[in-house]
Amino acid sequence: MRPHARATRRRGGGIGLHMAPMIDVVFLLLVYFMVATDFSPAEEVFRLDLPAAAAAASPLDLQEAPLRVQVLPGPEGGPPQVTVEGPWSDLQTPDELRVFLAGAVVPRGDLFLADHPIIIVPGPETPWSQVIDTFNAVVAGGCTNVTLESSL
Amino acid sequence: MTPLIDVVFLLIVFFVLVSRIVDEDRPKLDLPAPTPPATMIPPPGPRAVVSVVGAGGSTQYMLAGTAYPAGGSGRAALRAALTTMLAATPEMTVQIRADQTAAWQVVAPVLDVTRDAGAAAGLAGPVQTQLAATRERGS
Repeated sequence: MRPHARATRRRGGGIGLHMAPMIDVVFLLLVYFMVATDFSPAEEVFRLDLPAAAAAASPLDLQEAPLRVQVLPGPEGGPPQVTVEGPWSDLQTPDELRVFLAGAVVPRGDLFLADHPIIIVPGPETPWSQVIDTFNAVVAGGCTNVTLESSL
Repeated sequence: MTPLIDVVFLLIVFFVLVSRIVDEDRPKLDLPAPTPPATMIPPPGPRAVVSVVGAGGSTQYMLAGTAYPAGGSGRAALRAALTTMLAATPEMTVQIRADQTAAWQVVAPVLDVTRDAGAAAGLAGPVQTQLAATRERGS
């Protein structure tokens, strides 16, 4: 083919696709989304209703003694030291507490109603992860009325 | 091609700015990850996020991009800020985030401050509060 004919075809020819700039833009988008994507685990929550400080108890409410669970720091990397007030002194870890509550709370047990008040009392030096482990065990055991004693 | 690249760059700058604003609300923390998790997906609605950042003497509380020192004056300022927010939006949920190594004695004041702010804002019921934790993917 003569050079003149080739040039003519290019000038009047069909639609050309410019690959290099398109790949540039695609790479830009790829890099952006890789940087922007959050690979960290999903955040979820426990519900905790803090009672109003000045809330007065109604005399018509049935007063139930709350179950108090003390949480002290456990050994490094291990579970916290859990102490349940009352005749359940053999419960020492969050796992044991969860298994106990799962078998004691209505409908699987008959010792506590699901909304029986549970108060978790951490020690000042107890790590937050061990407080949450205990809170998680109580919630997983089927209790819905769980609070933390915050006034140190 | 040049206008297209201009638009792409504009979009990138926009998204970078937006993601920075989001990060200010939620500083990066190593949250507790209980197993097996009994956590729930946070329900939609207005939310104030209080993060406990740092450890020991450098602990700070972060709320809406503002840092409050852990001392008495910082707590009073945090209480005032939360009271204002709760008075304006009584149905607001307060979400508490803390690093898993934080000691209870630095997290507990946030609960006290939240409770006091609810009372100061004149809420009839309890302050809706959430404790943030991590759910590992697949668990």
